[in-house]
Amino acid sequence: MASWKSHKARRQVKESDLSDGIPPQNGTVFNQWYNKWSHGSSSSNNRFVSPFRLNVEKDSGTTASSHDCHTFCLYFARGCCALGPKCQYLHHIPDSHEDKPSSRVKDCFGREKHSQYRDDMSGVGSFQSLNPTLYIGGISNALNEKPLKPIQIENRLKYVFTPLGPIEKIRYVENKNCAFIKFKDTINAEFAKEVMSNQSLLLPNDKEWDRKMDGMGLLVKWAHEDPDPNAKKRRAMEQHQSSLKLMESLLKQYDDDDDSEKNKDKIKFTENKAKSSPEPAPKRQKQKPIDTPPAPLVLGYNSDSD
Amino acid sequence: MSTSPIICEECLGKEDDIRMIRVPEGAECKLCTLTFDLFHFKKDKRSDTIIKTILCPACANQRNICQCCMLDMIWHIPIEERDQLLSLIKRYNITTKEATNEMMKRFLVLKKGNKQIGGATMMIGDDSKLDMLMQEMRDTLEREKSSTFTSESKNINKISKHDASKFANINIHHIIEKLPLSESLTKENSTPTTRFFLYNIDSSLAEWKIDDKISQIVDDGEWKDLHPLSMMINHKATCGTINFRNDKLAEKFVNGLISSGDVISCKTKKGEVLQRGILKIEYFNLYVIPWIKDNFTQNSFGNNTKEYIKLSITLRNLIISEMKFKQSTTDKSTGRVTKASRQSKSKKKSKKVGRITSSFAL
Repeated sequence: MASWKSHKARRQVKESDLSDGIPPQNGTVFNQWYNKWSHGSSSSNNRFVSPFRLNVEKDSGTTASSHDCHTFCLYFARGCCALGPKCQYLHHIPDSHEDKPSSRVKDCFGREKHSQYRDDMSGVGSFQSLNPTLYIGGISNALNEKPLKPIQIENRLKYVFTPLGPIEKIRYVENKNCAFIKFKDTINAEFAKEVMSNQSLLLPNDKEWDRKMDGMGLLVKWAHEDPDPNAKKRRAMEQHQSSLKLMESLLKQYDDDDDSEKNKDKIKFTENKAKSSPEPAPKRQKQKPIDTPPAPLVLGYNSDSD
Repeated sequence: MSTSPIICEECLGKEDDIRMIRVPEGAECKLCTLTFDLFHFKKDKRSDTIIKTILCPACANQRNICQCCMLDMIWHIPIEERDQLLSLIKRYNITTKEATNEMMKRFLVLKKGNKQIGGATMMIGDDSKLDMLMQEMRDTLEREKSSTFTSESKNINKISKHDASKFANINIHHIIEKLPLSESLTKENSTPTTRFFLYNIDSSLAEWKIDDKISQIVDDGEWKDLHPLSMMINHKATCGTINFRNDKLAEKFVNGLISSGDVISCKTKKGEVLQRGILKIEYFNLYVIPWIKDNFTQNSFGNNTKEYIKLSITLRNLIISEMKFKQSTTDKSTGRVTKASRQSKSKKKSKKVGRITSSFAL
């Protein structure tokens, strides 16, 4: 059993510690719907270091969420949920075995995905394809320009991202000063994206730790597909393997459905025989449960007819 | 056009009666951006989740998908996976291309016979059409199982001659010297260690798979601590290292490998016979050597990509030499002289193998 199940979730912050939610003024008009300032200088910089951060071991725990809830708390991921055990959403790291996303069209926080990625690859992402890879930028700023060797940066990234889910691969690109982190599952990538956005890469034992708020946080976005020919081949191979597995399961399901139909008919036939009715046994009607779109169930209020 | 929504059984749930609310022109379709009549409902009365349609019926109908979950109405899989599957069956590329331009999105949904919708047309039809498709799928599966795809996949990461010559001038003696290549994996190690060196790590092999396999062998999911150096995999260098939390787990790991027979022997130039553990993950074989000396640092596999690739070439050569030794020893044991052993002998004569010395230098 996962350790978080044995205790209640912790309140990450007190309500009094939370700000009023309005970001610092960098425009003339405040858009209440998007919680942003607009109509100002276009060069306004929205990058900052978040004062809150998720502590996986201490903050995880059970909440007041219902049994069929598959939605994670966005504030928990950002390290600032003031509700703690009273929160209606989940407070733990997504586990691919237990926490399956409720729908492909929503992310793990229940936000609707879009048809296309945004031009800058930020945001909730697209439902067209599953993307378990994150792009990590702004590394120098997140380190307050602390000079580190590439391998040290890679290890630091590994240190902060590993607790957020099983990682497939971490690659730091020295020339571009960015990194790519591929998770085992998309659900973990969605979660990690929110956790690490606008976070510092400094650690408490660094000299610069006290000045971490002076820098700028990490820039975490969705990654484009790897253009490396070898990576493409590997992807094709993985897809091929998963397609074969899918074929097996579909065929198995198809055969099972067929068998169950046969059994049903057999039972009906024997019942009829026992009754020794003069009517012939009913002909087997081949039906597949997932065959045609189900009959629409439009009940209740119909505002159009009013 | 019918005003009823196209919703799959998974979304509708098991309840016989569902209260469904219709909102005329209530939402914008996620695919074509045109407005449509939105339906929202709950699977059962006590459910917290409100399910709503996100696509217009025209888009859903064109692609044969559910308006709520966007999965195929028959197989209940995503469009992308359905296209891959049908591509395999039909032996030509089938893809669903969604328009990116807003005008084009609207145009395609209003136009009859959208040709960009991939395999959806193959799915729409009567039972006999589906039966035929399932039969084709069965044939495809049999055909693919007998093909040599897995053996082809092993060749992806082969080092090309171009790469070998490109990195020939990179000097990594200082890295090779520090690697524990002269150590042997035995039960009675003079100095017990918690750290092990892994090599022959394919670049497609995920870190979590290695982690899972080791957890399985030592029967402990928390065999390592959170420090990044406790498991460091360098896919470019095709090698890595693992460090167990304590000696007991390390001992269990070694015993696990030896007892299951996952060990091979190899010989150095000096004639010393060494043992390597084999960590079998899927169809990959990772070689394991104990890292007895306390000289591991985060730079142990190099400092830049060139050094990583050079190290991977060196380790590849090492594996080839070790495999040759294994081949010759097995041939000796059976008393037969195979083509492979003859080749290895002739190569030894021509001193080509001499490049891989006893100290495993370049």
